[in-house]
Amino acid sequence: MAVIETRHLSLVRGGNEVLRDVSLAIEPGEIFILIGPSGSGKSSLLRCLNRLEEPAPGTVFLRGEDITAMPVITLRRRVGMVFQLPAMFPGTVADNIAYGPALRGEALSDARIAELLDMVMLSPALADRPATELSGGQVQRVAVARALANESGSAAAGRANVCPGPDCDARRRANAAGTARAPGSDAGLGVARGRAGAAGGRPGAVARPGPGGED
Amino acid sequence: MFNASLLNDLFNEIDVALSSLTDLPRIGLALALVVAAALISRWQRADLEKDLAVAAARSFVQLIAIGYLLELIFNQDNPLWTAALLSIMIVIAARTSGRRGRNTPSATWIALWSIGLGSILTLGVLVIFGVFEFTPQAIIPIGGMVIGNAMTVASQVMDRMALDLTEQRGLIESRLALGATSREASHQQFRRALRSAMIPHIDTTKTTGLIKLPGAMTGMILAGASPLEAVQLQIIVMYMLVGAVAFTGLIAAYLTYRAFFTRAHQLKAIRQPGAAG
Repeated sequence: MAVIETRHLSLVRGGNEVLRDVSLAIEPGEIFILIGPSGSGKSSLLRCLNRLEEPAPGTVFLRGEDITAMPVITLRRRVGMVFQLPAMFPGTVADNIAYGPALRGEALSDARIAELLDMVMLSPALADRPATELSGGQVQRVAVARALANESGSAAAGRANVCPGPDCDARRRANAAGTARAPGSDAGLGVARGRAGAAGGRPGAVARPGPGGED
Repeated sequence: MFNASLLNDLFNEIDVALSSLTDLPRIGLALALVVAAALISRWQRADLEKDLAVAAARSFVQLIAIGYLLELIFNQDNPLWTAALLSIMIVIAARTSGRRGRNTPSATWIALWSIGLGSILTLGVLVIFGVFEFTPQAIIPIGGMVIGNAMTVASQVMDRMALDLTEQRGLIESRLALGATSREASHQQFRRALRSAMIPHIDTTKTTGLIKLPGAMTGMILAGASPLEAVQLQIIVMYMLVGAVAFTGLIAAYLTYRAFFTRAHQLKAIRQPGAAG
């Protein structure tokens, strides 16, 4: 059964058609890279998967369950999301990673935080650093670790990479895959800006899990 | 067509009413200062003469009208009239505040609820504790002060919160995406809006009497009360306003945050959402 599936998903926001009739399915273990030009609705699609935008009932499914019928907080804990420009919360890197569990009154052990940092290839020594002092690349990784800390099970990791130059499509897709291939998650969906087919890619090109996460 | 005696009565009434305006000569002399202001405006080409004339005329007409209305209500001494006047004041305050908060969904309703509830709570506590009796002489001027301050606070809370919730969309949605409720996700913005609206009032309370004599106290002293009588009332007024500001601010912050989120814990797109790609 598909981890994430959309069926004829359309979205209208403020009178503008943002998505029209999008159907896709992401199987367990699959990493799915969606490529499209700026403003084509890639992130709006991602926002529908954890109901930051409201999809119509019967259009988005998580393991076969209609997400609009699930409690929204439960859904968001199960579907991790990483924004293009992740916002770090005030406090240390450890505070940021522990945010999701802390909402449920659960404390995250130092060992688990170190483990999560290691998963995203960051030094565990960063844990006590103020999150606002990180570099852009570090912020992205901490955001992935923060989403993983919720032990989502299924992760829809959204991430767009803007990469100039004519020959960057492969690299851009690798980057999106890097984020989407969140370790410990069942499946990933990444988005990247670009033109489908520009570098041999095709819409909905599927990448196999591999060593990723490097920028 | 007019009944002559009725018309006569009306003229008599007006005559009596006007004759009770014994301070018209003094008002006329004070008007000299407005004229001076107009001359300065003319000389410096500030182009405010027309505004000055309108302001002087409006304040005269509004205040005289209110004066008569208050005379009428004071003479009736009917609690319903007092309540009606307070309600009108609350509605006008809510409309004024609602126009300021145009970036907030249903700002006028939020202003109406927060100013109304905040003012009624404050006045209720004062009356129940017996600080003031429910007489028009006490409740109308006190109510005016409470409602006026509540109005400022409601505007400030809505304004600040609308700005923060719009500008910090990325931060808030990051929290939502991790499973935070809308209340948890906007906790910081809620607190900051409340603080920013309350701090000026707390600071005014701290320095009161040192920088300027507050209005109520000035009025009492001018009317012949002893300074000690005046300051005691002023202390009550200051404490009362702190309460009114806290009640109103809290209600306004609560309603504003509710207006910005859907029931499914989604931050409404007042402008374009911060895109992820």
